[in-house]
Amino acid sequence: MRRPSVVEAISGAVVVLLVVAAFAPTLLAPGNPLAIDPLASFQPPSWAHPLGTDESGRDLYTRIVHGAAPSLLIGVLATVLGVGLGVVLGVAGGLGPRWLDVTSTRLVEVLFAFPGLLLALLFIAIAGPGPVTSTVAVGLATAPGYARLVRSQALSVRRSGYVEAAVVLGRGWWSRLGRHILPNVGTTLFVLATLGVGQSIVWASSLSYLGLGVSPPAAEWGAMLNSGRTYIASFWWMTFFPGLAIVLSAASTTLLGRSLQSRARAQ
Amino acid sequence: MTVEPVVRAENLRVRFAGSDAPAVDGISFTIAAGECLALVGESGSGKSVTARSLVGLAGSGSTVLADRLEVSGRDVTGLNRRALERLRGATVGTISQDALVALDPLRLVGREVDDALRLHTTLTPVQRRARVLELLADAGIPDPELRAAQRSGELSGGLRQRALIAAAIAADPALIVADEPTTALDSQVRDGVLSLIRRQVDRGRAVLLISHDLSVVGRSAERVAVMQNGRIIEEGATADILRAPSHPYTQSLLAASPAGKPRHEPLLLRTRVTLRDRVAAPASPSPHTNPVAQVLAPTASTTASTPASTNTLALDARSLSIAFSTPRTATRTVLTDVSFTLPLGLTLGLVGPSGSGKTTLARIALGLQRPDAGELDLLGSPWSSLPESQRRARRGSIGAIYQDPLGSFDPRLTVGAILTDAVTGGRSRTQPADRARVAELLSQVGLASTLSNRRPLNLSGGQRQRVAIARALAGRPRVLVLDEPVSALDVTIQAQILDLLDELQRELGLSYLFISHDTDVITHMSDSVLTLV
Amino acid sequence: MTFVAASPTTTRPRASATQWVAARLGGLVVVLWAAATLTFFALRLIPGDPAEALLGGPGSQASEEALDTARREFGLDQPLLIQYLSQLGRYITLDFGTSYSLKQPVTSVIGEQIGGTLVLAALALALAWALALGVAVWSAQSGRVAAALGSALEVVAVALPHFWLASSLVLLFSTTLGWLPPLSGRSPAGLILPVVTLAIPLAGFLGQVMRESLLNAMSSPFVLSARTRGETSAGVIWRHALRHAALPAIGLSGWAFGNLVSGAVVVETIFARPGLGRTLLTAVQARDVPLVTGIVLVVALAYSVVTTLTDVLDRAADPRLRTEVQA
Repeated sequence: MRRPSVVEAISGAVVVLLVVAAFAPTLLAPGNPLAIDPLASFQPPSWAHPLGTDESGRDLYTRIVHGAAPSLLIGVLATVLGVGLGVVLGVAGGLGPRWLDVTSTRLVEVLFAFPGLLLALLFIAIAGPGPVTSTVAVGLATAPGYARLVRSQALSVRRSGYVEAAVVLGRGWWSRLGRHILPNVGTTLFVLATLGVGQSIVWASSLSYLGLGVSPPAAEWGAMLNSGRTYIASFWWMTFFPGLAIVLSAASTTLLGRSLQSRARAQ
Repeated sequence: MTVEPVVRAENLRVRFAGSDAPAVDGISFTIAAGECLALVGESGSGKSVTARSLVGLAGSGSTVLADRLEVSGRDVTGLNRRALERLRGATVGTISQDALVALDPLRLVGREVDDALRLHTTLTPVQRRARVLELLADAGIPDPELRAAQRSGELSGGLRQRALIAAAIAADPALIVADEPTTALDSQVRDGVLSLIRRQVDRGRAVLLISHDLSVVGRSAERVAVMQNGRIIEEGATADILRAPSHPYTQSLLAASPAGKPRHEPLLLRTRVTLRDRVAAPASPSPHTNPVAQVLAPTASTTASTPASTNTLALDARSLSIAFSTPRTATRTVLTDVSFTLPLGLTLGLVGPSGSGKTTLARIALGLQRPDAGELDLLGSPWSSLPESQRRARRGSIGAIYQDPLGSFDPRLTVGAILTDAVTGGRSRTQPADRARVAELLSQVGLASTLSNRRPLNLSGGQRQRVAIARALAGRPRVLVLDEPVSALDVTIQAQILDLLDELQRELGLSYLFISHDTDVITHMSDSVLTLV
Repeated sequence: MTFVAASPTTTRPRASATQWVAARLGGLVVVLWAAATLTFFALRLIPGDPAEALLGGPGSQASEEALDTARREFGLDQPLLIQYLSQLGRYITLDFGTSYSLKQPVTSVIGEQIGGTLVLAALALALAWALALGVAVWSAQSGRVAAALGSALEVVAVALPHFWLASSLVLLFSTTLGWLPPLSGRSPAGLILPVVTLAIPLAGFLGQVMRESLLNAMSSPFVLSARTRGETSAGVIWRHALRHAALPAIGLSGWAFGNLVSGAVVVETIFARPGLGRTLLTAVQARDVPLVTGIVLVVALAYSVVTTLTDVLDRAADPRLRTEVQA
């Protein structure tokens, strides 16, 4: 195993910090994220409040740490949904009979015709805003991307030299599927998911920022951004720090995913 | 009056950062104008590094030192980047192997040839264009105007290599470095390219020819230097070295080459042997000597003159035809009415230019492809016409060896896992009998049992091929289909594998369908030959 | 004994370019039809009353009469097949209905707003290309540290959400430095921040792709050949490697366009720019289904056309996709 590079070490440390913040926030921020203190509202960063306070005097640092769990949860759930859907479509296309491949590819192409967040917005317009719908919406919007990747990976494994060698050795379809195809497709899938969590976090928080996801006063980063929107000119810290948390989460998970990918390739 | 040699190297040393052993460890040589010096060696001998350090392109992280390293009288080690750029192309032209990747696939061939003219001459664009066409025509490319406007992907392998040569000599360099110029080519095309290189020598240029192939060297070079582990271990006139090599390594290189070696005679012997012992090769055919080449009508059948007493044929093909078409590409008819027989215990060699359908025929024999017409029987029973479900049980009788064994191994598995899987036939529980069989297979192919825990990625090319052979033998097959099994291997390793295959054939009574583009290998290994045109 | 078998390999010419284009256009039509069908059924599959959804959702408190009018107007009392066919018919004649919240025909709303978004997207694409190419070439020429730095920059750039980047840029350039206006007015200066906001994350993504293929090209055998002919380092990059680096980015530009339109939703909102994105957001918030579906379908159409165009460009730029390699 190679020694971890500087980049890997830093992103790994950030991810560990995030996990701690998500599962045991009181270790990092002992205060109460919902505690209101009207006299201390709109305070800039200081020793008492390292990241400032919001419009109700709540400590931003505490809210950000406690907000890690819901914010990351939405991102992870949306990724799971997207990957799940993507795998179903991709495997059907890559490993199934020809007619199934054509059908699922057409379906994915149709979904692809709606770029970026548009599919999510359409879904929310019909089903209404809220944390559940925004999670489902992001999952739907990311699914076509995964489907394409899974399908191409499944196809390349299916046509590979070692699967053909298995045919020559006399292995049947199910045996090849179980012993060779699925395990090799599975290893890349995990790496892809790690890369995708970052994007899901960004999209989910964008929807919250626009008022279509989680709403205040929940300590969720996107919701905090939403309430800070109106005060951007005068009280910049209310938008800046939650946003920074989002950027760090997305960047560190992506970098970690990338390093996993290059390690897997080297093997 | 002595003329200065074009290249003079004294005590050349090249070292790469991060590596203990030097790549080139103090070699000296000269090349005069109108002379071709061949550098021969296997991979890792340092021959390519030597060539590239003549123009300062040894690679990043390299240190090049020499008492003297002069090209056309100028000291190469002291040149700065700009001076080196002026040297390259104008004084030294380089031809690399495999023009498919050595020419930019996105640029027009004419532009690639024009590069050296643009950089090193003061000709006008109109003059350069005329010169490019001259160069292409001189390199033996018909219809140069058409070819100059095409990209490398549109030319055949031979034409591409000629265009690459034209590009290298465009600015009239005094020295040409040819690094394995014919390795990727068919034997027919190879001769044309070699004579083109020879013509440059006749015109007074100095040529440094790098090759692992002694037959290429024998025809093209006046002098030969043999390299091993970064040192020149033997040097002299080509005829002398090939006739009477004095160094053991050179002798093993010559011994390992299958050219002219009779059937069933091991290539690597433990005693010292020189070519002289083989010079008096018997011309009269006996059952085990070189196959007699006869041209027969395609549908006539003949019986082998070997003592095969059974009537069962390992493979019996009658009128196979197949064509491929997909919605996106054209329809290609690959095989038309091909018939052959492979008797038990013998080898049928399969040759033909690229694209003639050798691999397709192999796949039909393995039951991976169904022919559009015709039939192929395996061990006396129908094979190609059966549905897969009925074939599966008999698949143990036929096995396959590929040119690139790495692609045929699941990247997640170790050697032991691969062989155990082959032996158990997919059963999940392994028994002591299975482990014993795996050990038996490993020793049959000459691999240490300690290799079981390694991944094929960490093995050498020769070791990987042995693992592939072990896996193919797991099911105790009667027939093996071998598709270019030694083409990617160095000469001595190739000889080891060929000897192993020969030994296994005699011990286990195997029948081989052997594909290769190397006619020497085919002639050495086959009892009969099928040529696809 | 020797056999000789004559088995010539013959080929038939492959489909011509016009056939390929016709096939692609056909595929486009199919995709659009499928998209329209998807939106049609999505509306009717969600639990609840479609008439209510069309009037702004359960929270709109529409009266019984309004609901009845809506049902008649939208033909919701007709059999499903008739509804579907008449909806398709309306789409073909580019009749997307009337926006509930803006009381205007959807097509006229789109017509008014689309210009602003297209300008934004085009400028952002151009800037992203320039940035990506610049960073890729610079880091390729400057050694290992620069390459690592460039790579890290790109990963961070991709992770920047549009709203955060926009807010930070406004903070820096408007509030603190006062160089640029926080909201886009009429002035061209008002375009700068929105375009930069859209361009940076895209530049990060394109840059990653370009740098990887640039590095591949630089270590390839044909670049080595060019060097042996005496090509300078600059010449190697400009004459050889750059073309290879740009190829995948051309193919991705179609996807990039869609990404930009999607990002315009946030950017136009933050900078109060008129455009399709801002209109879409307000329509979603008002749950104005006709307007939302109209905009989404129009964007899907534009996106499909653009991806087809980039595919054509791709084939024109990379001859390997056109011809078969001869043996």
